[in-house]
Amino acid sequence: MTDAWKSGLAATALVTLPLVAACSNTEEHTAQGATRDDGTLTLAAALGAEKDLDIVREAMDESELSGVLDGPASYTILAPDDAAFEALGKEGETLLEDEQRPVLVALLRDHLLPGHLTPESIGEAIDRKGGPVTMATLGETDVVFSREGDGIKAELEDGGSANFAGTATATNNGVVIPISQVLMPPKD
Amino acid sequence: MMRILLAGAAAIALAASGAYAQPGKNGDNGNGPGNGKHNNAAKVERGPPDRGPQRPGNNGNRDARPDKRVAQQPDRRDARQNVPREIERRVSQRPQERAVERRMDRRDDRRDLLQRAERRIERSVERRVDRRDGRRDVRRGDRNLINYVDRVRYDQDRTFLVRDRDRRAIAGCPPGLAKKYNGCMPPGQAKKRYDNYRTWNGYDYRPRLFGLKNYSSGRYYYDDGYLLRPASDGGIAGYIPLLGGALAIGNQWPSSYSSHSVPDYYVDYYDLGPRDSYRYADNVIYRVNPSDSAIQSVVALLTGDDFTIGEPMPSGYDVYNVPYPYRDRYNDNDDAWYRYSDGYVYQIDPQTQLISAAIDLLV
Repeated sequence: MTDAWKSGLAATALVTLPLVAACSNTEEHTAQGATRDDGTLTLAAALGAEKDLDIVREAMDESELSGVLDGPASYTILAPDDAAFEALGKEGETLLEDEQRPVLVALLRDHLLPGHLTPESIGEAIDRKGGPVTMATLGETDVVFSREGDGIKAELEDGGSANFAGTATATNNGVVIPISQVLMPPKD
Repeated sequence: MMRILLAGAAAIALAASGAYAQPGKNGDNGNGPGNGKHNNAAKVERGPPDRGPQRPGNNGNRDARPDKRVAQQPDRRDARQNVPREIERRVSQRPQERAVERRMDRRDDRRDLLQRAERRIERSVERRVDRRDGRRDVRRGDRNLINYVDRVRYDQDRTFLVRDRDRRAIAGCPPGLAKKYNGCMPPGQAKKRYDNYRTWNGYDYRPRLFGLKNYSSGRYYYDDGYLLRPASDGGIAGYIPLLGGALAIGNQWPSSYSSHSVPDYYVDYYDLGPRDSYRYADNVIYRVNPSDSAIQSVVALLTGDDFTIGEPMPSGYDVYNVPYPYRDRYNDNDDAWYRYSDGYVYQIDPQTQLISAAIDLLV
């Protein structure tokens, strides 16, 4: 993890460390691909409990969209894991600066989808249609899902793509689906 | 634990409204619109007396620990039903006292969690019923009773989205920028400044990049939380305040940035309160301080997508996405599909792909 991400997340890490440790001691991991279903959680709480999603959680806080994740409406967040944000390098680090907050918000909106989508329901839709399926985002463009090997790929129209990575969590106000890359919007 | 939680929620919801639909994701409980679907093309279905998701707040649920051991079971519903019995059996079989105490403590923790959740649900239901009593027709009947609202009402409720699409950049120079540069920048200086401006990662700053679909395309610049529209003489012709920038939490709502009232349904669904305590613009709902219009939080992001009853479903809804508490009742089947957008569940005819009804999700 780069210095900027580290410093931004230091406080968060201190808070979440006991939680992560407790989870690893007492729970087995759900098999990858099967959505973990827990209606006692909100999206915000689910993000807080995932150890590989520290940066996207910090990004949601910095973007001031956290209230949306604790609200009554239902959203699905395609959550880039920490390695995905680190792969953005120096440009990614600047996203945490106040000056660039609108850009961070814009980037995150492309990762938010209306409603409760599980990887299973996405896979069923792909199979039923016999090919890629499209979902609206809360940002600039739609996202297209398709099967790739045993997994599912998400791709912004004319933009970046990512694979589903890790276990999704279904909560009472949406779903967290970890993905392997930040979905970059189209350049123009 | 989940079963007990749901039972508690059911008791509260029944007391408040005489009705309850169990959240979850398994199976259809037979309460769906069923045969009425094809006859309801011009209606908005007043939803089942389901409760919306709980809103425990930022901190509350961070304390909540999912029962991951149970969630790992292949059949999650069966596992949930067996939780209390399984815990008791394990406690009684443990020979070591310390182990027993640990498990009892854990059970006490879960009981505390359950009680806290029930209290939250009770407060939420009471709040909603109290608020709605004076304004809306709250039905307290059979849980299977389907209440219809005229399609005209639905269309009226959606007019704020239509009105919001008629937007253009606010004319002139943004107040913060005018102050920063001692008045709006003279044309020559502005051009020089923005010619050297570095964009993030090579992206052109355009309205759509920021999720703004209601503005003309063309060249824009970004500065101080605003998207700036250059004038032909090199000055600033207009501006758009940006979410996270000029519209960041703590900033005063720009008086020149028009906000629309949302219908009562949205006020209730998003728990917005009086008119002066929220703002809606460009598919975002903000909570503001009524006394000084300072932005307090972002309540919701909307798609603004156009769902018209009797018309085809808009693109971008290929996947079943009904919210968690309503998935039992509104489950895709051969006669009807269901899709969620901006606070409503829409019923789709699988054959014609037309929207046959809209369903609201309030108590």
